[in-house]
Amino acid sequence: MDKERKPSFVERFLQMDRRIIYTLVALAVAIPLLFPMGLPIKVTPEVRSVYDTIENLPAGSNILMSVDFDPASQPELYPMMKSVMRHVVRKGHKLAITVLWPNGVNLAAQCIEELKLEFPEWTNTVDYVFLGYQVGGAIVIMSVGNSFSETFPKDYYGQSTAGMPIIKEFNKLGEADYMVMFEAGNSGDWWIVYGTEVHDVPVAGGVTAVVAPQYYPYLQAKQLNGIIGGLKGAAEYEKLTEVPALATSAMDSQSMVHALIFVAIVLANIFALMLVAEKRRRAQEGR
Amino acid sequence: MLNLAILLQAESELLPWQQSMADFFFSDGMVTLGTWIAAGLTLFMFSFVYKDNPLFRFGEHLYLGISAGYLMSLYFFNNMKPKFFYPLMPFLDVSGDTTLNLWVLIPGILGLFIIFRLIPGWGWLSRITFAFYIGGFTGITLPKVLNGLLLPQFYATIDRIPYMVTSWDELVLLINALVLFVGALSVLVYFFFSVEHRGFVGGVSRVGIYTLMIAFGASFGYTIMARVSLLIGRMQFLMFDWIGEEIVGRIAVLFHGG
Amino acid sequence: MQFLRKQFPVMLAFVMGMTMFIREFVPAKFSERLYYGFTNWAIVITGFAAVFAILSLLHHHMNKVRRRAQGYGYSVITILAFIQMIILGLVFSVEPRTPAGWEYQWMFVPMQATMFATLAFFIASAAFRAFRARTWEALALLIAGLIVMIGRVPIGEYISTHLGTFADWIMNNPNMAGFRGIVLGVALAQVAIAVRIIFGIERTYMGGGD
Repeated sequence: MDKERKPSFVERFLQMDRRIIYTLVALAVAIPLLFPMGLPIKVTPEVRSVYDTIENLPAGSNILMSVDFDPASQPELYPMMKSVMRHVVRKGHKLAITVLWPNGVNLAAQCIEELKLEFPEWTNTVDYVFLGYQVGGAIVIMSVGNSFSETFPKDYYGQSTAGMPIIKEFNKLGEADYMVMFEAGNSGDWWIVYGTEVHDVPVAGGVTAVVAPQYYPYLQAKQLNGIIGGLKGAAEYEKLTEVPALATSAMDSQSMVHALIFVAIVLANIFALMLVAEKRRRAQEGR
Repeated sequence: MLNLAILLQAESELLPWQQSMADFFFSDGMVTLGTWIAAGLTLFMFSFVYKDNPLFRFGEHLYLGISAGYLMSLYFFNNMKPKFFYPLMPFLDVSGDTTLNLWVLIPGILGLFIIFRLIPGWGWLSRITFAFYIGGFTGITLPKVLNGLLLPQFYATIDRIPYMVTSWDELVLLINALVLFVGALSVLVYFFFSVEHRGFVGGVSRVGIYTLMIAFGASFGYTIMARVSLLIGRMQFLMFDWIGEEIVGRIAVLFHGG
Repeated sequence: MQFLRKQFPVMLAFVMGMTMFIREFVPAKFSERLYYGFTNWAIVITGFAAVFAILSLLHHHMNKVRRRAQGYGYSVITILAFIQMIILGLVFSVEPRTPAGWEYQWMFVPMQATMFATLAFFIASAAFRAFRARTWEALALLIAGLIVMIGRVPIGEYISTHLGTFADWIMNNPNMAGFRGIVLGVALAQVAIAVRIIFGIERTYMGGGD
């Protein structure tokens, strides 16, 4: 092989320094954040289904939310959780909140504090109960089939749950009219298999984009009533509830990075093919 | 153990010192301090993109320690205290809602067996706990997985195929149902027939591989979405909460006097 | 002693497994109490297991410090961070308006979130370098990935509404079929493992610790 030959443009492109790619990614995120383009957001049926269910339940229905994620997926699931929770509060439903991932419990607490500023009349122990975290994963799901107050004797703030007004009407999974779970892993599968299927409760999943594709079989089998997938799903929900927030403002950056990676992959493949052709040609010339 | 969280009733009922603590941690100064620390730690963690370095290692180990301490407190307040200590010693619960229940001694002892793994020569005791726990759990899962997962998922694979096709829409339904039926079953064939993939089984397996590849492709697209979303979240923090409010905002206040 | 170590756990797993399995088909009050009694106990046991996990993490770092292993200084940071957090946590609880809650919000959250955010850079670089259509299977993966990636964000809709529709179709049909196969496979495997555990064929869950 001719070692002195200068690498062709194709070769140099394919061996681009990774730091150039990193810089391009950072710019594709930062520029649209500073100069929003406001690309239109289309609502998918699986997100609309969640919205419609919460919208059409009679006011005062019992809704269970499970917060099963941690700060590692906070940018995706926090805006989604806040948006759905705001919708639930706005419709005047009763809300019970459980947490299966210990590192997520303060995120849920923060979300509640923020919503309280928006809805000062929203009252702890009457309109909602924040049951907090309990250890055990699938075991906790089985146990809430019996009672919230036994599984969570004290709520997040250390109060006894047993005497709370909301617990008198809404003390177990089976009494929920609807459930929305926020999932960053496979605890959603547990909720379906050990919880909602057993007690016949309709459930929707607000899931990170990483796990979203694997929840589609449940949607088709009607074991899930809707899927809100990733930050895009959160933006769709913000559009439906007409309160654009973090997820909506992130969508332009999201689009730009996706476009960048799309172009990078396509170009890399075309150039790789060209390189093969080039090598073949050179081999023929050399013969 | 000093237990003050129990005194934290609804927000209106905070004790005076708790109210001042809350006010302090929500004060402007503490938010500014927090934002600067968070921004610094964010940059420490991002420095790993360039290469592994002491700042990243510092952040990583700080994270581990904080996380472990936080988890331990949480386990105590949400699990150990209300589920184990209170039933054994109800007088500790000032609300008076807990009744004496000595039965919790049994899971308590079984739980201690797990901790005994840290003592050389005592580790085998944890086998009894695992046998109790896993055995019982397995007995529960078996019927629940059959009823809640296997059968519904299997029915949903076969019962969507329309009996006849009279319109364009029904043809689309038929095609989709066949994609599902053939795709899902061929994936199963690919998984479970470990014989050499040849002949008919081999052909079906190949369909299974292609179905899986499309599914993994979709997963790949979504994984990119997830990772990018996280990056956007951090950039939003750095650009708006830190640079925007704490740096540019404060400088602007300095010049314009608020 | 040997009996307690070897045979007793297997017998206990069998008895527990069979009891909880048969219970499922007994529609009586005591059967329900058995079920919820077990879950209640199991929550207490898991609490201890969780504490054990944290203790063994600390144990690991303590050992590193004791042996002055390479980079033991970092382990000192972990231990100090743990000690101050647990003191603050146990004294004031971990709610947002407490010192521990403040540390959670301004130290823990940014660090964990950033750790995963850095992956965006690596995945972009890896996609550019390694995502090539070298075989027909890889081509299928590539095309599905590209369409879903671009069709599921607003810019895809902006370029052409068909992109979004096609991405939706992939998600709801071939993607779903692939994951349906996986879900069915996992369910079958779970059933098989459950049977093996109950009948004492599968014993790895007992771990070492003899």
